[in-house]
Amino acid sequence: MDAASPLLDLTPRSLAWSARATSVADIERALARIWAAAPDAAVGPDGERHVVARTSVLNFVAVAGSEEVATRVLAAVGSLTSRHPSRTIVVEPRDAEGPRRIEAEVTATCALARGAGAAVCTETIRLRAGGDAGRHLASILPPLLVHDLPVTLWWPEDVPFHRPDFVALLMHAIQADRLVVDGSTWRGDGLAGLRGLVGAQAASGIAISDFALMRQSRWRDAIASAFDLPDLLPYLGSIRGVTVEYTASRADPAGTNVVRPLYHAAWIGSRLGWSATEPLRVEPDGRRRATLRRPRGHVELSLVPVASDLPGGATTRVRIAATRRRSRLDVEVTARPEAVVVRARLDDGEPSVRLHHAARRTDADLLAEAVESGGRDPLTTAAIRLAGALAERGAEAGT
Amino acid sequence: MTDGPASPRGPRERPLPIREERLAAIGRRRRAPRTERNPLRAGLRLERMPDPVAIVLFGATGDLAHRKVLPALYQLWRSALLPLDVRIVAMGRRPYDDSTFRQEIRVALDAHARVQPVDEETWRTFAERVEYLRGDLDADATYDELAARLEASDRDHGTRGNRLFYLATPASAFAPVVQQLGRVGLDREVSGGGWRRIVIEKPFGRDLESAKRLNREVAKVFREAQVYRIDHYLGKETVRNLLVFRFANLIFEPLWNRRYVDHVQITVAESIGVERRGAFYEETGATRDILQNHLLQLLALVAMEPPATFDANALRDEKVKVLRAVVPLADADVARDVVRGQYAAGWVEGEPVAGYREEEGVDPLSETETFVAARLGIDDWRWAGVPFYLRTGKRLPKRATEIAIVFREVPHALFRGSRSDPEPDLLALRIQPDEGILLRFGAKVPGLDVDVRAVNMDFGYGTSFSVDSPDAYETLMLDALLGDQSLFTRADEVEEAWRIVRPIVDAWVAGPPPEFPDYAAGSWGPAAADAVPGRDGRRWRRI
Ligand SMILES: NC(=O)c1ccc[n+]([C@@H]2O[C@H](COP(=O)([O-])OP(=O)(O)OC[C@H]3O[C@@H](n4cnc5c(N)ncnc54)[C@H](OP(=O)(O)O)[C@@H]3O)[C@@H](O)[C@H]2O)c1
Repeated sequence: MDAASPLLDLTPRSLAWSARATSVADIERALARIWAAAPDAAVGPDGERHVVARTSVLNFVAVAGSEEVATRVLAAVGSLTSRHPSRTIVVEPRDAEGPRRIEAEVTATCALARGAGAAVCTETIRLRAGGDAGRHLASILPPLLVHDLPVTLWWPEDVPFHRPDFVALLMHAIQADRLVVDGSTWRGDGLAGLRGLVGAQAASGIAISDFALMRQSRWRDAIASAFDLPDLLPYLGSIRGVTVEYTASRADPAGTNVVRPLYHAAWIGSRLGWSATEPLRVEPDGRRRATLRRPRGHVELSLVPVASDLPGGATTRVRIAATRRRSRLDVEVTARPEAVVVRARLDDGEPSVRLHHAARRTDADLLAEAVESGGRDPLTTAAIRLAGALAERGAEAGT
Repeated sequence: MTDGPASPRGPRERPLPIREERLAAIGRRRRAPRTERNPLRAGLRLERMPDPVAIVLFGATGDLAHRKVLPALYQLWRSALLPLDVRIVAMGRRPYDDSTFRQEIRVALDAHARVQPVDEETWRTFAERVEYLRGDLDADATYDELAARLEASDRDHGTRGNRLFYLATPASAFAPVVQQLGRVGLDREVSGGGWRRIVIEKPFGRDLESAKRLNREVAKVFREAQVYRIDHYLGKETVRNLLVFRFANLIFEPLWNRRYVDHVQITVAESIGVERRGAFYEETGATRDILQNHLLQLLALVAMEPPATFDANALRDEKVKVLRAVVPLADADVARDVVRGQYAAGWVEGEPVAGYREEEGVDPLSETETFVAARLGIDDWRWAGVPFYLRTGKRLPKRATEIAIVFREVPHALFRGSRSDPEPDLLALRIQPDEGILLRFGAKVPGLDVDVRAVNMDFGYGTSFSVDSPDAYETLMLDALLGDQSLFTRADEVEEAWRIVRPIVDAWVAGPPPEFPDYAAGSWGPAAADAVPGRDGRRWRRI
């Protein structure tokens, strides 16, 4: 046990105390010690007294597969200016075969407000769990959470949905309210992850934020805008085909993660009451196809890989075709740097074109949004559910 | 997106026969596409992007435009919340051209943009979309030129006939500008999606008559659903949170009435003086500048009944009902329940400052009040008998806007032996500077005695959420672009607020001259203000 006494580290606008610990009980003691030693008021560089206040908003737990991911997670959490998790716990299971050990670094950081406002304090626990301890996070985390505050769990990379210890952790031990994932990082085509996600959601009722789906908000806005025009709105009821093109690595097109392209179609379908009749199957040309049922007819869905040197799995184009009373509507949405372009064309008429501003959003932006959205979002729930149904394994025989 | 009632003058209009009503309804549907019927829009509310639009900023060379409106537009652009097809037509009299005006805004942004430093690339793309139109607001030619510019903007910049007019001019220009817009037909919404909206700054009138007149002039040209009257307090995070706080929590609402609430205090304190706006302030005074709008809006939000929906009109209907229930002040009430004041020289934040009468642009014998405190009552089932104490002033010791709900004492004093006088429970909503909510209640002091002491439970926005919430002008600008009127005041609301204030101003005009100045800069107003709650055995909160 490291008994380093709380140390004062004065940077211009924040104060921090930190300590090390080597067991769960030790971490709890370290926190208690820090708070006991922290003064009721801190004096800032401007000589002003700030009452020291701990926030009570949220527990934030992130599980990082590597040192590098842990650093990324901490950076994103640190830049969450819009909402501070009260307690952040970043766990790194490491060296699974090695000896069992727990090493933690506990830090309390107080940001000084301008003027005489309170100094706002949050706590960060960076915890390395070595050996089999890394497989028993469910026994480590619960005592470290602040009582009665919601728990958000961020799993930035491939999520082990199938592992029993994941289920134990997520559903029972920490009773997380929200699971934050990024479907575009899941291994292979990502569809197994998607099935796992839908399973977890169904079993636990947990709220989900998926960065892959969140990043598409401007696309959704752009696609919806095409149908704001009263003349085009009725075509929503007679869509026949949705085609999504995405970047794929030349070497292994079938191994490219297709979660993002699939989400576009799943969102449209879930809004329009479609259901999956035939899940995705891979065609010899590398495309994936599926069939959906809409209220009066069918919709053909294709996901088309386009060989590219860009990172795989990014949507480059969404096409929607609808026919109605012998008229045909084509809506095409394409990505450009910083913008999304919508082109809607009725028969041979002039296409109407509209640009949508689409700012890049960093991990920190998305994380802030995920943490800020309370409760289950019906759009996400429905889109993920339909995506999961389309990702079912049943018809993969076509390969 | 919510549409207002079909009638231009709010809900008091005579009812229409069913045929006319039906035709009006069809007309409305043709005019504006009802985007909410697009199922793809469901759940996208937060992500919605305003339609392509030309924003016409009247008074673009003025103080408000430089400090608030243009920085808000820039920030929205920076956050990708404006459409790419946006055009900002800036109007003023001064001899700028596009490029010199852009340089001028750049200077303003370096000083006033919320997020510093100004991002060069964002700035470049923003500036490209700003053009300057020089012209006198009284001249017909200005509007003919504007109409031509807007047509060109639709053609060359894809703004699609959507226009947002923003009046940041002196109030005397509001009516003439509206008339002129009507004259050249810029008010008319055309089929195929072109909407027209007008944002009007405060002051909206300077008394009941002028407000009614202005409402009438505006209504001749625009339907109420096109009119956005700004009270920027309504865009502030805590004010919006007030509604959430009241109606999304179960535990407070049951206490929110005469059974449990002893009284309510609303304070809008400013430490600044009149700065360089002395001439403007001379004609205005604290009652017109703050009481009639900000204070009464806060009162309405605290006191209103829960609306049935969060639709703009449902919300505003409830606010109007409360304002109507405010007990009218008779002359005698004004003498007893309203106190005005004017600051003399003094010290604020460690600096000596001049008295009001010495400020630039101010009459040395000025009778304009820089402070007002009032006691109002609300005659409805919820609030009958509960006093609402309101106060506002310039050159007070600090900048602070707060609403305090002070609860009644417990019916039976069980802990009489306690050494400290128990203070009543209190709920304080801080609106600025440190937005937050504080609950004060009694707790036992540790020890063998039963000693009750007041303790605070404090929720700070800065300590929980955003240290960096959007500026009120960003929120309101975006709402206007999205067609959401909830946070804007409706014609009848403005008139009701003037009705409440009228007897105050009338009594002062008719009465003897005030003994001004009567409070030192840096104090909490004239001593007489203490009597406003003092007469009821209460006192102002220490803030
Ligand atoms: N400033 C604030 O903090 C604040 C706060 C709330 C509400 N408001 C309201 O906002 C409005 C503007 O206030 P402000 O402080 O920005 O006033 P300001 O600095 O005096 O600006 C007035 C603007 O109107 C233009 N203007 C005046 N007469 C004109 C005419 N005949 N033709 C063309 N343009 C004319 C001026 O153009 P030139 O400069 O080119 O002559 C200038 O751009 C007022 O109604 C005020 O009550 C202001």
